Amino acid sequence: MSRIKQNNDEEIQVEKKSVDKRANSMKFFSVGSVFVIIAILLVVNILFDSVLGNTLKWDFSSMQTNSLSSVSKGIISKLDKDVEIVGLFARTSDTESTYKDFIPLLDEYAKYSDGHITVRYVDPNVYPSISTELDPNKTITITANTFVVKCGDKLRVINPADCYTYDEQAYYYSGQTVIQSVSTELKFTGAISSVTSDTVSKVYFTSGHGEATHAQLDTLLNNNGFETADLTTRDLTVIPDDCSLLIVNLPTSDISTDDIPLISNYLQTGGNLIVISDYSSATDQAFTNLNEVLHTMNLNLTNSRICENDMNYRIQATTGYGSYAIVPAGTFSSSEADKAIFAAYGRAVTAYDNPKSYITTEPLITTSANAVLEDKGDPSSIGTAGTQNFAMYSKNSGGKTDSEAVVIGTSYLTSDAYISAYSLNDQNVVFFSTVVKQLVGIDNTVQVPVKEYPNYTFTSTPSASVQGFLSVVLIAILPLAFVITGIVVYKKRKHL
Amino acid sequence: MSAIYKRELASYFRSPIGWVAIAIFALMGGFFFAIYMQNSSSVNISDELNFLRYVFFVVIPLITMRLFSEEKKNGTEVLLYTAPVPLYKVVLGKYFAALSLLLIMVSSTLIHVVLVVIMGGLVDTGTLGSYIGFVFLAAVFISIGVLCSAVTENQIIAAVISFVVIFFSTILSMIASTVQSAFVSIVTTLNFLKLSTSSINKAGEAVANGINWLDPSVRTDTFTQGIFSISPLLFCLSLVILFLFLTYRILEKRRWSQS
Repeated sequence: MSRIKQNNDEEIQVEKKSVDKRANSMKFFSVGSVFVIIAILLVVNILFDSVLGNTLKWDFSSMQTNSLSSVSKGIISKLDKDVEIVGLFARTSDTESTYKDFIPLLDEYAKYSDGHITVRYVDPNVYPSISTELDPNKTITITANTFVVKCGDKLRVINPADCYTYDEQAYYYSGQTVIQSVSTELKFTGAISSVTSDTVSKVYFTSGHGEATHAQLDTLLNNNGFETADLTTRDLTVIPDDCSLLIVNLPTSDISTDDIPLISNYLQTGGNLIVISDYSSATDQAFTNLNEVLHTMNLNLTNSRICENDMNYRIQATTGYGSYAIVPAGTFSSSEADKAIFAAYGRAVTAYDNPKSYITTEPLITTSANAVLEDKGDPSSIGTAGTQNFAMYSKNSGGKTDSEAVVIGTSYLTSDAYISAYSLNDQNVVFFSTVVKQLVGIDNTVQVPVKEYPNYTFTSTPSASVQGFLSVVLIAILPLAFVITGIVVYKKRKHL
Repeated sequence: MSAIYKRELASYFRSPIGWVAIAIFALMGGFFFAIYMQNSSSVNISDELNFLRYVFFVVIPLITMRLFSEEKKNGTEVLLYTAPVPLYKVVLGKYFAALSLLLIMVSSTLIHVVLVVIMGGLVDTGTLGSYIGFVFLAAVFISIGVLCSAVTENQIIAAVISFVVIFFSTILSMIASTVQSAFVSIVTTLNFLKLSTSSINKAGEAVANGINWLDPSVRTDTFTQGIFSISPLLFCLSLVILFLFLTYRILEKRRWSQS
């Protein structure tokens, strides 16, 4: 008996060992297979991402908003310097959504730059040291939620808000902020061109004559590759050699008599000058000394306010001081552009009676053929109706080097207030930018088109009552119908 | 597999769960649509679908919690193990049933698309991309729900676990940011290798990028802008395969331990 029991025990032990062995091998297989699957999936994904990730990707958005244009591709493919783009925020699913017009496009920059452009995202609130890392000399203000484009010591800051233009009519009529276009690519390609450029043109703003601030203009010019600086003309005997363009920005008082030879000499040696004035910041100001300089270019800044009388050009029917203006065909526009500029409180610019064969002048921005000038801004003292000039251009070929001057009689192209309200993409501002670039002689290659933004606004909005009905159906009736169906089904089947 | 699929799908509509899930989805979608229609006279369906991603937290645990846990609780799981169907087909049948229910829910938003078209709004490639991204993301979260249901026999616990996992998957990019910050702080404090601040920051970014790479929400975000890419879809499919395989292994282990 005991032998039989012993044999049974041995058999059970053998069977138990066999079961244990099989269980262990199953456990090993089970755990092992999970690790193998994870490894295979990881390898497949990493390989796919690195080899085909960018190839098997297509931008089907209506305006190719998230793809680089051929202009940008051409510029970045020729880069021979390393550029770093830093988004000053953490890349999370929330910021992916907030910066949806930036992050995919920046990935494209990295993709097409042959390794010359790197993009990273750093939250300066978490890493305050990023400011010092990017800008050890503290030349610019680095704030969160902006982008910095860096090459060597050169930096450009891009504020995402500047990349959008809004539908002003929608805002005016309904108070809604509707994005009309996006210029992300224009801004980044411009900044990349600027920071990688070997030559830098410098724009000086005169000061000391009650000139206006020019923070927005600085941003515009910096984005286009210019350096900007203020220049106090008092005690100055010569305009600095590195001055590519001198801007007299909305002075409230006339320049001094000492400034006359200073600026005239600058022009005679091939300088470029832009004078901006209007009939709002300085009223009843003759600018006698400034005009003495301008007369050498056969231009004259009048003491007359422009009043548009053509109702088709007026912004508001009740006043002629704000109007659409025309850019005639000429040096800065290949064809006439009607209503291309929005101008207001214009100070008329005329050709001076100083005809010289080597000086050519042309209107740059004009009114309709039915505008009048109000002498000294007096509405009762008006001249003959005709085409008036908001701005004029002059080229003097009489010296060793050509000099050029532009006089703009409205602040609606350049003032901080205007650019803040209408953004750097506004057509007035873009036109001014074109003028500056052409004056300085910068190759105008960074002409990336501003992309239209998809507009989700209904074109045939239903009446309020229809909207109310639809809301009730969608929020109450439809969900309730589902719930009631569920309850009915449940009650019917409860006892099954 | 089709028999299991049909049985599971039908079971959603024989109980209130399927109807309630569809009602929740329709309510939230309708709420978003109505608010935007009335306040801004514009509706971007992509934004609506982004908003509806938050409904996943509730709806997906609701529709997946009972898939395996109920079988276990009722003692019917043995029928699945002994049925003349491979176990993986049982998993796939149940998974596709839950996914089909979700597709039915999503289709309720097509009414909104039709309304947008009638009102002269814009339905663009971003809308199509949003639907694709949305469905793939849902597919991942449903596979997580299926796994959670297989782990426990208690439906409530299964729902809570899947809620937590889906929630953490959704905030993975925020976690990445925190981990990045912690990583940089620790390395800066210890800094045995005497790395520069820039190098430490970049290492921190690499860690965050690694975690972000695992976030299916971030990966599928570009679809909403009309950018179609195979890589995020492959990634979502991989996650689905992984979670369903884990489910299969758990059930397989249980079958072995029962035998």
